Amino acid sequence: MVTVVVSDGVTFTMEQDVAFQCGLIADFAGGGGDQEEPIPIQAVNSTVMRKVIEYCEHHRNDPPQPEVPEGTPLERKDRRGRDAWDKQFIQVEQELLFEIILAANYLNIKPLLDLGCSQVAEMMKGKTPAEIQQMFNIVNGFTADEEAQNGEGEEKARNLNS
Amino acid sequence: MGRKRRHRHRRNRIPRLPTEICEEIISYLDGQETLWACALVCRSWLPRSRVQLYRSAKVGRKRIHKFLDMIVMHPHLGVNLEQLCLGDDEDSTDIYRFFSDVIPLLPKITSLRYEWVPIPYLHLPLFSSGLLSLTSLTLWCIEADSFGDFVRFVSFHKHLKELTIWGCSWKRSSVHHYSFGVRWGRDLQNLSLVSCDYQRVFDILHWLGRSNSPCSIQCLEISSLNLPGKIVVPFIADHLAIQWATTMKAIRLDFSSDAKEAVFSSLTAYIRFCPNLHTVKLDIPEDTLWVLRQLPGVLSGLVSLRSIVFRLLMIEAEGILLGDSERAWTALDRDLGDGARFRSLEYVEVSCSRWKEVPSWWENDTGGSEDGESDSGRELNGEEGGIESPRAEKGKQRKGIPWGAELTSRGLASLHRTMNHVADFHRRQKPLTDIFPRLSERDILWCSIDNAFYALHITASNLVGMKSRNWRPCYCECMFHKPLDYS
Repeated sequence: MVTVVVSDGVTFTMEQDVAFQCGLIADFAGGGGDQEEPIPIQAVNSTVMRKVIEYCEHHRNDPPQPEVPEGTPLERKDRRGRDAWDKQFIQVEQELLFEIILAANYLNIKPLLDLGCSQVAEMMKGKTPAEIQQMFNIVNGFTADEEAQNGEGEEKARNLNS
Repeated sequence: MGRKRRHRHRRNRIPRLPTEICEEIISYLDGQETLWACALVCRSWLPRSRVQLYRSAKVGRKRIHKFLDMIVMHPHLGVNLEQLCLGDDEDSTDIYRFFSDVIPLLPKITSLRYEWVPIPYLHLPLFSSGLLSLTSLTLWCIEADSFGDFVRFVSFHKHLKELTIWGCSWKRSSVHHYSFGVRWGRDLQNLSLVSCDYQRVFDILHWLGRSNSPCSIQCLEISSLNLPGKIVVPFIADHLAIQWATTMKAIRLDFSSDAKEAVFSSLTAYIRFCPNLHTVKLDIPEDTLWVLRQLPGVLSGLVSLRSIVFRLLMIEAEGILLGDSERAWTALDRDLGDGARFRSLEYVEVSCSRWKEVPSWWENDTGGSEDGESDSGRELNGEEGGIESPRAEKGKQRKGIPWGAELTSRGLASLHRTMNHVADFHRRQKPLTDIFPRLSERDILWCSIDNAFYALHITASNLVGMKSRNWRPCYCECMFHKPLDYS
């Protein structure tokens, strides 16, 4: 069994095959035996950790996924391991979704990170630049001139396909 | 004020994602509109959005010169380009410029498609560098004076793995004049010859299959041939290189010939020499259903066979599962269900297509000849939309959306509507489970549209009790272009 303690002090105990899906925990535990000392996970709170453990428990028997190289065509990339359960699991509020993505990145759970990213990409469809900025809490860093120039350049390129 | 503060408060609660995660998210986007929007979100999002946006480009009618100007002026846009379609331009200077000035600016291009463009055959030796990264080439309605010119042009693309020749032609079949490209074809694995006439197909097969050729074809498609009237012609299989038999994994052939018996016997003679064949896809006209009865006997000797796809070309689609057809299908189901003979069989697909004529309900439902909707119809018509040659279709396509256009939302709406019609059609027929006794309702996994106006796909996964195995229909669909590696 492996025990972790998260940022708000809550302790979670899980079986090794569940815990070792998190690359960080597997590295921390050194890959062997039961871990007596709780592993501190300061970047994740208990709400998010519960979701992460739920995901890891569901996928505990999955075979390891082959590495998908950079630049993989989208239709293949998007198809990876998204079953009905995953789709249901990732239907959460945007704030929680972003926290799950950050946790997956921190804990090094690649399939969960992929799932979260593809869900966010799904939510971005059809949005304007301003709406995306709001969604990601991003301040527009372009000057007015740059924005006009970018828009013009992109417009030219866009016309090629029409 | 209160609302603004609440809004700001909510915004601040959303955690900021680091740039590398944002870039990962962008890599999942495929819609052009959203990618354009991402490029304008902030400075750090621009490079990744551009990479995604300029991975593929389709340059249409009279816009090739603009595309060339843009790539020359902004070379960073060409650096990421992987797939390019150049189409429908009558100005040969544009194409000359593409070969002379632009090719060196496209270092990552892997897939290229030429549609109705004038190839500068005479100048090809000047552009000797070629496209070294290119692995997939599609030639759509390309004309040449002689087959020698055509061969030189294909050979210019040095490391091809996939070659599709669609409706291309040349005036003389002579190959005496080509001098380089003799050793070309070492990497070629997938060959598709579609909507070509018999003589052109023979020219290509003889060129690639000559005794000193390094070609080892794994996936071969020969379909929608332009038939020479009622003349009985020797079948293609008689001209397939015997050295390909050992490497052949997937084969797609059509029986749209007046010499059906000869077709069948030469095909069966050939595939007996293919020990690694795992997929057979056959296009069968409605008057050739006897093939269904004989085929299991022929295929049962192939222990490697994993997928069989039947595509019926029907004039009267309403009859596809009735009368003689029904009996033929039931017999086929029984034969293929014999696990002792088909030990490796995992996938059987039956796809019935009606083409050439637009069904009456289509016209009624799309509001007659409203421009927008009829364009959508053409979009669905797609590459296999008729036995007519692509050249004959050219006039029609010019008016509508160019071939290969991605489905727009309007096109998708039509697609959904069509699917509903197919579902209705399906319900009016006898239950499929009556005809395919081995099927249960839940095995009818897929009822969808193919490139013709409508099609009924019946996909059965259980013919040899493989329910628990991984079932990957999408791979099988694109197998002829992206072969599935069963190893």
